[in-house]
Amino acid sequence: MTQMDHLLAHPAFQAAIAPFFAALVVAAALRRTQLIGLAVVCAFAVAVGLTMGYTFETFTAVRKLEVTGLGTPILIVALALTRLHRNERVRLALDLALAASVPWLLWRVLQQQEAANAMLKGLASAAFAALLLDAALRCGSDSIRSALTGLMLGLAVAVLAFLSASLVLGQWAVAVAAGSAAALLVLLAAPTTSQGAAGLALPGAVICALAALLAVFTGSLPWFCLLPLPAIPWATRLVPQDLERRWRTASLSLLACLPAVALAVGLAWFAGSSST
Amino acid sequence: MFRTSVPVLMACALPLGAVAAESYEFDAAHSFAHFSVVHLGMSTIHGRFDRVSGKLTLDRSAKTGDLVVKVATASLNTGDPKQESGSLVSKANGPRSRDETLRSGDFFNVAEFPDATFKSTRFNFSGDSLESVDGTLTLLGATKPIKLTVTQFRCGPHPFNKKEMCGADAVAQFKRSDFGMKSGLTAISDEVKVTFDVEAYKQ
Repeated sequence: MTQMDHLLAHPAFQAAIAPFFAALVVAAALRRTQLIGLAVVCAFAVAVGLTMGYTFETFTAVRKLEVTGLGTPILIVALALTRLHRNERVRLALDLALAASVPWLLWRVLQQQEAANAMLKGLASAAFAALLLDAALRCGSDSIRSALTGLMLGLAVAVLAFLSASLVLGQWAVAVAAGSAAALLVLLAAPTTSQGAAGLALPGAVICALAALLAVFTGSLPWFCLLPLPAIPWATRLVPQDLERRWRTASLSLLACLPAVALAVGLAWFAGSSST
Repeated sequence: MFRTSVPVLMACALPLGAVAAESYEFDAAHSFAHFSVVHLGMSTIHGRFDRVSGKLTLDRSAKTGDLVVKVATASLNTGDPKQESGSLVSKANGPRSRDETLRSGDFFNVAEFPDATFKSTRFNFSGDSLESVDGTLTLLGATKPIKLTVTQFRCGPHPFNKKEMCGADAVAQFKRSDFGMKSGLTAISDEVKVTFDVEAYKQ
């Protein structure tokens, strides 16, 4: 193996370094537009390419997550073009669309279970995904909050996925965090913030919600570890917006998210350590 | 006389031909699938699937047969079912064991694909002995051709209960990435060696 092959095969390069720099370029190019959310999708796409590649032997749940994540640019562009990102009905429609995609994502897993059990789990999973996306989209018009939401959700889901014994899901969640971090960096450094908050929150929340569900259904993560996750976007709204002191606001928002992240990770760690 | 004896002979031959194909069902207590991969290019890690079921139909006179083997992927076992809390391994790798990792979506994805199946397409004999079985392996929902090389095959009565039985050891090799199992290819070899050690009783 050459030095380059070693680098490309390194999990940290695949999940964090390459996605971060790719997203940084995209975020810098789109910083004044409502399409800055494409930076997160770009990071995700790079991580998918380096980890699993784009060959589809079988349309597994992980591949469905990949397709859903890579399909979010359509919604980002639609939101930007129609300027409907502040419309309550649009937000509700996006929540419902994600909820509807969950049974499709988990179809083969739910097929292995009894009908009543599968229905209950399917409905609960759909509700979780919709709740998480709704909380993320409620970050309003603040792009910095949206980027922070993606960053912290990505980090939390990455740790949960690693603890559930899934490296790939963890790497993809790290890529979401890296892409969001790149967008955040650009937004904090730029003199004016873009207005693509909904488009920025959307891909991270969608990918993280589905990755977290897969960590439960195809990994060994107990379901209750997901409960603190919707509190992460909510926590970013605790700190009032202050465009003059963006770095301070971002730092405080980040700190506000930490209890929810720590609770989710703590539950997963202790559940893993105590299970037989 | 000739006219009458031909149909009689044919009638006698029919049941004999039908009997020639014998059906066997795997003995779950003595049938296993083992797999091995190379770890970090350094050493070989072995694992076992504890639950294997299957049916064999064999016509030794016609040298044909039919084999279906079903492996319950959740029954895999590499000797690391659960890491003890606070152990050095747990501190280094987190609270999940190697077996849990192998059952996850990264590898065997047992929640979505609880079974791996081998179905024969052709039995290859060398003289009277079974040499190999061509077939397809369905793993993670992908079906690819594979050849089982038979290293041992023997049929006869069970020494104690006298029931007719067959026993076989067979080995196959494939690339896991062909089936979409691409996680950890730099640390865990793409080539997987699978061995089936089975006993089956005549039905």
